[in-house]
Order: sequence, then structure tokens, then C-alpha cells
Amino acid sequence: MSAFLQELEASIAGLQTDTTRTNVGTVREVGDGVAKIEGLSDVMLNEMLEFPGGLYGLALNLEETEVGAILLGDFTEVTEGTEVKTTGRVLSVPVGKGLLGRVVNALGQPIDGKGPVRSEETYPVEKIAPGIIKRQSVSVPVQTGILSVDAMIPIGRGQRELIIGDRATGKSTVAIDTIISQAQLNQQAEEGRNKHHKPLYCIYVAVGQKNMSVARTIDILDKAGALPYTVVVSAPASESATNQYLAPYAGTAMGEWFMNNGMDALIVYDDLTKHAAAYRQVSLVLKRPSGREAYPGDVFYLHSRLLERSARLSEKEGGGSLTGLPLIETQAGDVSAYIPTNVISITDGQIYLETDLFYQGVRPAISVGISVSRVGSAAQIKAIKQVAGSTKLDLAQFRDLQAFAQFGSDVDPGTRKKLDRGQRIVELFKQGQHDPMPVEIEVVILFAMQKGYFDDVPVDKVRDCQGKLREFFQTRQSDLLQRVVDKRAIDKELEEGLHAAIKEFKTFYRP
Amino acid sequence: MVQTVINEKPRHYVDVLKDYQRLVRLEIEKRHAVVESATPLNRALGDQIVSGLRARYGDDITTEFRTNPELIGGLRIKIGNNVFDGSVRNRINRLQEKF
Repeated sequence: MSAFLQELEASIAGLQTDTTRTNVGTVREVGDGVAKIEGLSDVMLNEMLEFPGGLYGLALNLEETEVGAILLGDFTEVTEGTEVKTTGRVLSVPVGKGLLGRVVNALGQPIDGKGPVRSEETYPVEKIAPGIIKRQSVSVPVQTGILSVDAMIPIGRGQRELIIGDRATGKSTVAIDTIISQAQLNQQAEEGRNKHHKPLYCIYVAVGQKNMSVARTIDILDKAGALPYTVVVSAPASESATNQYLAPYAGTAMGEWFMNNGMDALIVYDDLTKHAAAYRQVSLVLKRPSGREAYPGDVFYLHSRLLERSARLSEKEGGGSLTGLPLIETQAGDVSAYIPTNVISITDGQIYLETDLFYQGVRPAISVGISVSRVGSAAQIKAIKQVAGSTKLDLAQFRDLQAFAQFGSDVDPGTRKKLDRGQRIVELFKQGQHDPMPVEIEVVILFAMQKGYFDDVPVDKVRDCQGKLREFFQTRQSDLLQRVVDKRAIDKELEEGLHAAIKEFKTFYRP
Repeated sequence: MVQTVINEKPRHYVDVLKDYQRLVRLEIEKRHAVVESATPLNRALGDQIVSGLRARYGDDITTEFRTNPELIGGLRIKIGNNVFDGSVRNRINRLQEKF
């Protein structure tokens, strides 16, 4: 009780300083979430402004006699003549582990009805990305649990990998499956079954989506047990454009906390096309000059400064990382539009999803030819490197030959073999949604494929065979799987073990 | 000068004049002090405040006195964009924020 009394005395004593000096302005014009304010001579760029009734704004345009500010929240009470105060603070959001499992808005306020967010620290929303000295190269994989991605387009911790494709091609699914996969790996590590895995926390930023889609995503994450490792930042289509513009930065600030504290985090921006559109709206209302497709001149910087904040810090800085998975929606497969080209050039590679493949039943509809990861095999464990090395080439050759072989039935045996192998790889890479594959199973399947164990299985039975093989290993060969997890490379002894196990499986498998 | 513009009527001259008016208004506001108090101030205190402001900001400061019961007590002085708030209302608000 006396401690409380002392605290009270101290806080009252703090108020004894007679007068406070504040810098104020008056609203001259307001509309569409943007206010023009006269006065505010001491305001700084990106400073928070206080409006009556607990509403805050952000000063974005500083002009000779007035300030253009965006309003963060319900601006129906703001009228001409309203007095506005500077606060001397930049916009910050709560950060920390208390946010895991929560759904928050662009300002970090909870919107999931689970009470206040427990967080002691805040981070500024806008922050300069770590410099060259602070970084190290990417070498630790993010296991997405999607066989085709892990085998051919590996993503490393600290990398920025773009997921691009038309509407309804499964972009969000790839990202959500990755989050689910991390949750499974984190659980595995917590139970002591995977000593190599460093927990990877996820942040899912939903920009300009339907509330229904966000609710469905949260439900999927919850059912898969991934929510306790995930922060959801939601700025749905019903929110103002200003909140949609801020949400990715707020999410990144939350991710940076994990990175700066030596932990690893993954952030999904779903999606940056809508983010650019929201920023375009804000810019046009602020009367900034517009350029191509009416986007403002700094729309490139908008995304580059956001994605540059994904990094892998050096051991001296704690060795944390932030991996970025931005999503971009294209129109009719046009990757040469303004925003897609911008983001392609910023990121370290892209996963391209194709509508045609999607409707052919190849799901995830990843187009191997133009999907790349500039980090490459540095972000794969040795076992995957050993078994997946030539897969991408095999598949590329298959695509070439497939077009060629359509014209005639007579092909030489070498070509026939490549075609057969290719068809089976395509089948193997088909995967159900929200069912990420553990890395040890990926190794087994790729191993079986590389050694030709699927060659005598009819193409339409490959998936069935793959499923049964997975089941067989998980139920009867769990020791072998554990050895793959522990060793992370296939040595002579393990190779023999895998051969023997797959042969045993083949003796009783009937397609 | 204003008369010259009105006589010559260059393009958009009304807008030009409106803009000019706004700039002049802002310039005047910068040198204008508004002193608010909960109850009307007595003459001696008012003079003291005016001389204090003149000492600090120069002799061309214009002063206006207003009463605002919402302040409860103390003074609130606004000069241009700056507000010096020593009112009881402001202290209560700050105390509220602290909790």
C-alpha cells in the first residue's frame, strides 16, 4: 500500500511543473481520412497528432503554411476549426511475445475480443532497415512443407520471396501452409524431437481483404494449431485506406522485435497490390502528384523500404532474422504491370502460380520455369540438396519434351524415360492444401523418386503410392525418419536403410 | 498593392487575393496572443501579463482576454501556434493520462 502511495506522490510531483507548452493547429479541411491543418509550425514528418476525443493522425505532408495529415480511426467527429496538438512521438505499435495468438489492427489494438494485449515494449512503425555491417548471408532454411518449393525454390531465413499469380490461384494457401508448417516444426522442437529447429514465429498481415476471408484464415490457423505462434494484423477492406497503408509497416515492426531479440520470424503481406492501391488513394487525396497508373512517384520506395527490413542479422547482433513473403496479384498473368515488376525487382526471387496449371489439377500451381529463388541451395539442408539437386532440370526438360512429344507418338526410349519421369514428378508435387509435409518425409519421397522407385507405378497411382509410402514410414519406420531429422544428410548407412525400407514397402504395395 | 491588383484584374486575381488574405491572416495570428482564464482577470494582473508577453515577444504583440469556465482555474495563453497551458483542466487531464 505504501508503495502505491509513493508512486502516487511521485506522479503528482511530476505534475508540479507549472505550465506545459504545446504546438497546436486548426483543421482547415477534412475528408476521406485526410485533414489539412493550419499552424503546427513545430511538427515533424511522420509525427503523431492528437485530435480531440482520443483520435490520432499522422503528419505526412509538411507545407509552407499547412500540414497534410492522415487520420487513424473514426474521423466523423473532426470538423473545420478542430484544434490539433503535436505529441512529439512517432507512431508506434506494441511488440513482443504477448502478441502471439492475437488478432490486432494496424495500430496494434486487439480486435479479437480476448482482452488487452500484454506488451511492455513498443516499436516505431517506420524504421530504417539494418545496414550492411549488421547482416549476414542467408543459410538457414524456412521449411515451407510444400514439396515443390522446398525441393526447387528453397526459401531461407531472412530472404524475401514473392508469391505472385492471378486471383484464386492459391497464393494465400502457399503462405498459410508455410505458417502451419512452422507451427508443426515449432511443436516438434518443443517436444524435443528436432534439436536443429530454431522456432520461427509468424506474422500474417491482411491488407484490404474481405472480413470473411480474414476470419476464415484465422479459423484455419486456429484449427491447425498455428495461432499460438502467429500474430495476425488485419486491415480489411472496410477499414480506411490509411490503416491499410500502415498495416504492413506495423506488422514488420512486430517482426523486427523477434529479429532484434535473436529470434526468427516470418511475415506474410497478403497482399501488396491492395497496399499500393491504398497508398495511391491516400496520396491522391493528399494531392501529391501522380505518375504511371496514377500511383505516386514514391510507390517503389513504399515497397522497397518495407521489404528491406527483412534481414538476417549477424551473430554479433544476435543472429535473428525476418523472412518476408509478400503476395502480389496479377491481372491475366501480366507480370510486367507496374507494381508486380517493382516488387519482383525488390525481392530475392518469386514463386509464380499459374491459372492454367491450377485448372489442370496441378496444385499448388507453381510454374517451375519462371519461379526462382536467388538464394538457391544455400537455404536447403544437405539431405534435400542430395536428393533434389537435378529435379528442377528434369522438370524443365520434361516441359520442353512434353510440348514436342504432343505431335507424335514415336519417341526414342531416352526421351520416353524423361517423359515418364517428368509426369511422375508432376504427380508427386501435387499436394493437398493445409497439409504441409515434414522435411524428413520430403527427403524420403524425393529419394524414392530419384532412385526410380516410382517408375513402375502408373502415373495416376503415384499420389496414392506417395501417400501410402508416407504412412508406412510414419507408422513403421519412425526411427529411420528420426535419423534423417537428426543427421540432416544422407550418409552411406542411412542410404542403405532407406533403400531397404522402400523395397520392403514395394513388396506389399499393389497399385 | 491590393488596389493595383483589383484595377489590373490579372488572371485568377480573386484567388490570388484570397491567398494573400490568408497569408496576412496567418502572419497576424503569429503576433496575437489569446489569454484565457476561468474568471475575468483584474486589471493589474492583465497588465502584468501583457507586459510579460511584450518583454518576451516584442512590443508589437496584440493581446486579447477571454473567459472560459471549463479551465476551472489558472491561465491558458495561445500565441500563434504555441499554447502555454497552466490551467487546472490541463493538469487534471494529464493526471488522467498518467493513470
